[in-house]
Amino acid sequence: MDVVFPLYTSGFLDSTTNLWLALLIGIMFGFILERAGFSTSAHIAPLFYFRSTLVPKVMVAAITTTATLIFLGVVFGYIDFNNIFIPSTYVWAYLVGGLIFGVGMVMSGWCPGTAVTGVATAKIDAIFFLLGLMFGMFIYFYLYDAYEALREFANSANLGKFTINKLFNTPDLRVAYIATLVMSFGLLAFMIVMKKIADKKGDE
Amino acid sequence: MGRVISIVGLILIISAGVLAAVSVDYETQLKKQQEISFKYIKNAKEALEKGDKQQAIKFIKMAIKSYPDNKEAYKLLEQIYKSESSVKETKPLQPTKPQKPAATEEEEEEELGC
Repeated sequence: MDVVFPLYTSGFLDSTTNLWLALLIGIMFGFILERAGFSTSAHIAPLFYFRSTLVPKVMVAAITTTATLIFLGVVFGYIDFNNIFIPSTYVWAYLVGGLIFGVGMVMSGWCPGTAVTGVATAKIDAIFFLLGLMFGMFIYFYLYDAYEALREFANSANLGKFTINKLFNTPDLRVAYIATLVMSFGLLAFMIVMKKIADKKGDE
Repeated sequence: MGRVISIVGLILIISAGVLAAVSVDYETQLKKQQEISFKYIKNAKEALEKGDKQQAIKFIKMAIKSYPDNKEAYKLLEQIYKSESSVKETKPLQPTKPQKPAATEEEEEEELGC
């Protein structure tokens, strides 16, 4: 049988095997996050004050590696691009949600993924963060069910599967790949410059 | 040392990607997408040989999704559906009453009593 990725959506894995594989990949992901220094809030909060470039460095390395491997997989015929899951873009919900997410992240020094790594390495603040996160989710689900206005807002401005290719109105994947590289390294360069400026101000 | 290896690894991976972006044009991307579609067809045939029609249909639908102009996929799907319907048609058909030939205008007038 000729294997095509992603394995589950392409019909090569049953849901049980898929879930076991997800658990294994999740453990590996957590281990890498921990080794990258993401299991302590002291490394994440300084990002927002331009005092550390650890997070953007790791993120850019992860994004560019993944983008490259997906791009190579598609152009060499091993990945079926049509079967890759792409969530829909809800503009207003994403903007408001992103703002709340950012405020929560700078206040606590955790994001949901790193907090799980923090709990695994017995960080008390990560446990409180995750409890707060679950409480917030519970409240949101309740409000979402109760208020029509919130449902309308959350589902408004739905752009569907809005990709870089759709933005540039071209099916050529090279555009998306190069744009991803440019944006990622541009963000990293911006963060490095901002850190240098912040360090200089700190010295004065 | 680990840091150096990571940076060198990242540079190598991205270089491979950029090299591919320079050398692989859109036509080649389309051809590869078609190749994936034919991989699904091959898998569908293998599933059919094993007697797993549902899995075969799943693969064929994937093949059509990745390359909608894949004629072989439609033919194979037609074959599967035909074989399924022929199994269902093994019931003896009920005898039907012979239908009347279509009435002429004059006959219709007679029937209506005009």
